[in-house]
Amino acid sequence: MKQKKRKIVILAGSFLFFGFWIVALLPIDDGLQGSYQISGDIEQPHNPKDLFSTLMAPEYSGPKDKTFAFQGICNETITVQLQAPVNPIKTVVTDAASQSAQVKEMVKSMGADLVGICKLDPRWKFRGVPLSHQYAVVIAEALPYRFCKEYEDDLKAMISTRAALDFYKAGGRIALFLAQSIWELGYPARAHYESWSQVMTIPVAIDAGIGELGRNGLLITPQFGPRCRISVVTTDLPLEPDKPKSMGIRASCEICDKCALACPARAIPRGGEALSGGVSKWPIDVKKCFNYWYKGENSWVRCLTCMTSCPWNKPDNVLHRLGSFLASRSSFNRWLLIKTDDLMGYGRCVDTLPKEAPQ
Amino acid sequence: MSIAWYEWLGWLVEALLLVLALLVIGSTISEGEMRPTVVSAAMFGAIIGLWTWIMVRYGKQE
Repeated sequence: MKQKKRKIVILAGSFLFFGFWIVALLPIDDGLQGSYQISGDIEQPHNPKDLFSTLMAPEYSGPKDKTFAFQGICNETITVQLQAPVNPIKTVVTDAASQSAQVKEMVKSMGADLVGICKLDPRWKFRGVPLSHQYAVVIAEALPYRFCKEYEDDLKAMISTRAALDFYKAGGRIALFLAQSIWELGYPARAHYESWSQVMTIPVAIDAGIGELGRNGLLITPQFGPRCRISVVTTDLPLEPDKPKSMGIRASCEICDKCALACPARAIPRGGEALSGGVSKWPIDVKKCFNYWYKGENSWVRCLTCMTSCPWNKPDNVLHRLGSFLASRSSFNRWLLIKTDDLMGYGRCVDTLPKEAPQ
Repeated sequence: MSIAWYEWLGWLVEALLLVLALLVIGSTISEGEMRPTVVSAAMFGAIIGLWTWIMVRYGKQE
């Protein structure tokens, strides 16, 4: 009798275990929206420099020159021109797919974490920009996970924030090298990064299949969450574009509002997506965000809350890759993963408000 | 001594649970996060403990 009862218990337990994994692995969501839902005309914003001058200038003293300097491997300062003449002898490209593979390999070998290629949609250019390139190579540099945790220790937090800002340069360096290599092949190219960008980097990265737009207004990738800094190289070099992918990120943002609740500036909306500038998304109140962290005269308070609170902000390891994969399968998985994230204590929100306003 | 087919299934579940526990706990340790390590160790400890009890003790022949 006892043996029979044991048989039933083992079978029931095994059924539960395997049943759970079968349900978790089944691709239940077929209609996931990975890309943008566009309605009507896209409102193209002004150049980011104009945005900066509206919001932060006149005291903004960021990069304004036409060169980019960085430390080389022998610790010498290397200066790269933003624009240079294109080689008059054009290399003929017969196989765009192989050319794309070479570009991706080169970019990755220079230290990029993710790379994708897309056809450049002219709607993603800033208003009035004379850019006619056909393709865009998107380069994503991921910040280390340790830089994107909320620290109660002020020094650690400030170092993390400054290091996070410095990562823009790393992507820019790769973009410039790629642009230079393309000039040497005889094709026009332009590197876009930081405030030198002439394109909106997030929609271009989505078109290149690197990630999806999150509630927090950042590009969220399955591997690195919202920790990527994006640089773009636009060019006429014939390339084979990638496609936008559905990874369950937008769908998970629909049921998760951790960043909205954590945002100290209350700049992230809760609830569903809304139409903003012709695109369905969660519109970020940019002014509230800037006013919170930018205190004038090139000083700011630390704030990475929208990154640190995001359930997708995880180290890139086997466990979290499995989680990302499961999140793309069904809404049940996404709900379960968000609840597990809470239970595990990830994205714990620390009060980031400064104890005293900087002078 | 041979074991019944359903016991093989039970031990397979036990092995898979152990692998999963090693993966989860190992990953959280490597992240240097305290709370996920403690929570996942407690959860897997409880589940694996219960399953082992079912497999080893619960059905022991009288």
